[in-house]
Amino acid sequence: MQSGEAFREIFWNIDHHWLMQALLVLVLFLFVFFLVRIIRLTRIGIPVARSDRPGKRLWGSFRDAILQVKVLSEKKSGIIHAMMYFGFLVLLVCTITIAFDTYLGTHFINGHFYLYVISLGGDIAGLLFCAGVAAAIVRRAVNKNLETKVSDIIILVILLLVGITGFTIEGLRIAAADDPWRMWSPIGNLVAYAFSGIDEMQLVLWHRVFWWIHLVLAFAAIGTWTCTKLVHTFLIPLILYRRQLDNAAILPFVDLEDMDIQEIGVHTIRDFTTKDLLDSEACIRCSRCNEVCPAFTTGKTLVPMGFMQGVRAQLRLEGPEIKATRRHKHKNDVTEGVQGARKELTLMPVVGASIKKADLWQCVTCGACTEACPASIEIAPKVVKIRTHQVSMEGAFPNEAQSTFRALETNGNPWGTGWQKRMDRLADLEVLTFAEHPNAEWLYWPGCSGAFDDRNNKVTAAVTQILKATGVDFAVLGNEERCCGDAARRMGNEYVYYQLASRNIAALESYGIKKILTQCPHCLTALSVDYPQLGGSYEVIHHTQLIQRLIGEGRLKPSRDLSASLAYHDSCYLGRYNHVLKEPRLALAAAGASIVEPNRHGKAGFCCGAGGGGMWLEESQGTRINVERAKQLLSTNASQIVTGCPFCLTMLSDGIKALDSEVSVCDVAEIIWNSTLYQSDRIEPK
Amino acid sequence: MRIAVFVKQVMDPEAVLAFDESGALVQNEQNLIIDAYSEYAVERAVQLKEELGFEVIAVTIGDENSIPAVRHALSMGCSEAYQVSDPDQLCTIPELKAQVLAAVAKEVSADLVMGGCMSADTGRAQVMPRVAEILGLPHVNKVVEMRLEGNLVCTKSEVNDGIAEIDVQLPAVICAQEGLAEPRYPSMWDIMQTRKKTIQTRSVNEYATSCASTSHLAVVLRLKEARKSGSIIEGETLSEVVQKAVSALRDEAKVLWGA
Repeated sequence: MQSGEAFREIFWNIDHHWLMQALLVLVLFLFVFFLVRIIRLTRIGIPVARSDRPGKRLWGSFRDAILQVKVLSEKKSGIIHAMMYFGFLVLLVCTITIAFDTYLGTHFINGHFYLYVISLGGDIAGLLFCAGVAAAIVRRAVNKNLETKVSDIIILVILLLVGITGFTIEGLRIAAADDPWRMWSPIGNLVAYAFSGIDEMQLVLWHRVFWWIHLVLAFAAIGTWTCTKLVHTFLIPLILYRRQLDNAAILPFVDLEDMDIQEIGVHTIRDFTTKDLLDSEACIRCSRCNEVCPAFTTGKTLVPMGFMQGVRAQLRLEGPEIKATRRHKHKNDVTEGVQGARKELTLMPVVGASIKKADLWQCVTCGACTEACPASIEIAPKVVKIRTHQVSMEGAFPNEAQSTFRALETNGNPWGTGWQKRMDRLADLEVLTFAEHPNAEWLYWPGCSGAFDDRNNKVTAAVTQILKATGVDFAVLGNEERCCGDAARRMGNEYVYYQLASRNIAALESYGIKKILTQCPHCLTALSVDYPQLGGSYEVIHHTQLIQRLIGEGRLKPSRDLSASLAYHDSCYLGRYNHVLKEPRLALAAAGASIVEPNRHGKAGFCCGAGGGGMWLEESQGTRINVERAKQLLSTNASQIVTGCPFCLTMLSDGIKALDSEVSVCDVAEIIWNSTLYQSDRIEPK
Repeated sequence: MRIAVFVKQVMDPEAVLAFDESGALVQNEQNLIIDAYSEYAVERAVQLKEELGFEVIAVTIGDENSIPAVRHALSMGCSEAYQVSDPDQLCTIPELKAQVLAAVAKEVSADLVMGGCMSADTGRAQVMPRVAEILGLPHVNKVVEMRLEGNLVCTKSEVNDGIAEIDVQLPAVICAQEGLAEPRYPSMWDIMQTRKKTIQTRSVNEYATSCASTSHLAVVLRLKEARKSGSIIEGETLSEVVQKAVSALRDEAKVLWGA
């Protein structure tokens, strides 16, 4: 027989098709019903516009959901998941083609396509699927950190049984019908051998029994698909489509000039956006966020996954009531006018229900969770939105933050040093202000650390010397500069942020400033991500970017004989949020340094503990984040640690001191300037 | 029950200060903030309002720069606010201030008068006891703890070597010391709500005070001399060092005679 003539009789040995069709209708109804219910539940949230750039959004969904790129970034669980997922996908295609043949009269189950794709492909896919599911069961049984629930196991067992019964009926069919194409179904063929010698009538009977068992199991899975965690197969592509395409540090704009403002930040579950609520429903509890969270891994009570599950539980608890009240209200508005009886809802605050008050302040907003999440669920922005309500509406925050807030309000810097002293150290470095040199090309923004902190003053000195030596035309705002407001905003204090930012923007506008060079990644974020919301749009770059540019243009020539091995620590707000990963490394390499990377680096970098206002908050639980990071960096055995952020510099220096190590921590600018200084003839002014 | 709390707007203690030859402050856009001692008083008063439902009236005196102090007090939870407008800075000495504030306390029929035991800028610590004297009321100074038991104010007050527990009958004057209460940080919401409240303004002239006659005047203000750094006495031998030390104590420090 020619392989081109191969075919398989559909519904061989099976009667009562009507029963299957009736069940299918019921199952599909349940499937759609549960899916619609979840999506409608999340609509109690604030609508969010995330439908621009559809091409880019679709590509993200395709890459991370369909192609599983982020899932596979973690090898073990990634491969197990991919086996289940791709196996299932092929089986689904097989089933759909069979349905097409049956009901639409196509002829897929024929010839080469049948043999290679349906028969052989289906068999291999089935084997992958079963192996994947079995591996997942074993993984869940062995790994106690997974917080496995009974339902997790039940779902996996049902899926495994669907696979096993599938092979069973295939084997029984092959054995009973003596399929001439049996070699193209290697697994089914193996099963068939197991049945060899059994009476054909028996085989036919058992085939029928197992066929119906297989169908019931499969239909049970499909019918409950969208009310179990398997709904993630739909929700994750959806939230990936609606993911944050702009800078992940972006926060919702709060218009403080609006005198009628009633509520800001997140107080109850309905203050979240629809995307936030979908995030919570899509969370599959893979715990990758926990594994990378600096707070969780240093023994604090914050559990990012637990927070997502908390939001989900609260949505399930209060969502239906909120929805019902809205419908009721709407009806009343229409029939009885606005005066109609309204049922007032008393909702639980999310603080205390979804997240504990203390945990709220342990988040360093580093964004490692979202980076690690296969579905890119946004966690830090939710934390900040809750803080915004806590601080701005309720005045509730850890005591130690009060002095920082007051210092920022009164003197525009977190230490509360008199604002008139901001220019002192810069004046010593003979830097001009914009008032003195109004046509400067660049505004150099040293930030509070660069202006006031002793250690970071040295970085300021290195940066200014590099700028001067290479003839960059720059000036500073001097005493007109205020804290950028990043810490205030990410600690939830929109009011102080607004005061600082609007004052800075007024100063920037008064000089017509277009290009800004920041020393601190937090200033970089505030000026480039936060300020446009208040009408201040500038070209903002970090000093490591400019240094790399100057080296690239040949204007700055560090000596190449720096033989040291350096461990580079990525600041979260530089690397992860602003994608400045290459520039500092290239600059260091240009100085001849060999860079050793700690395990956690680049986009997966581990926070120093200062982000999200962590610099100004106390760490009372667990071990200290900066000490943990210092350990990770010291384990590289590098002779020096380098970073590009003043907060990281402070935190890591403290962490290293706490470990009684002598290894020094420097900024990229210091390394480059020292290296250049050895051969001062290498500087070529423009 | 009504509590009058006197609040003062002062220069930020962290501000950079400079003085001219006459000892007067050189204005350099120093920030003004509510005085820390005023805040302790306001916080405790607002706590009493929350616990027992009192009315708390914040009162300040000064030019327009003093208004943010009462605004802040309102944001912290005071029920009403008064500003005695003194645009020409006629009432800056404690004696006159106390006369005006005592009159206001009477006007608002306060059962309890509170305020800082001193202010962080001038540190004269006179206004509150003077108010008590004018009103003929008992006062407790440097109060670090207070509670109300019926008509009795039970206080703990800082004295030189410890704490004195003093109970006084209402009406009374209570002067707050650091530690009386941890001042709250008004949320943005509180601040926005306060924007809608009006501050009642009185003119300093409405109070029959003769601003010209006072019993005392500051003649001259001088900065404290900076503390001199210590010196290390060095020498070849021990006896040489001792000899140098003795002569330094005798000739320079003038604490030894006849040695």
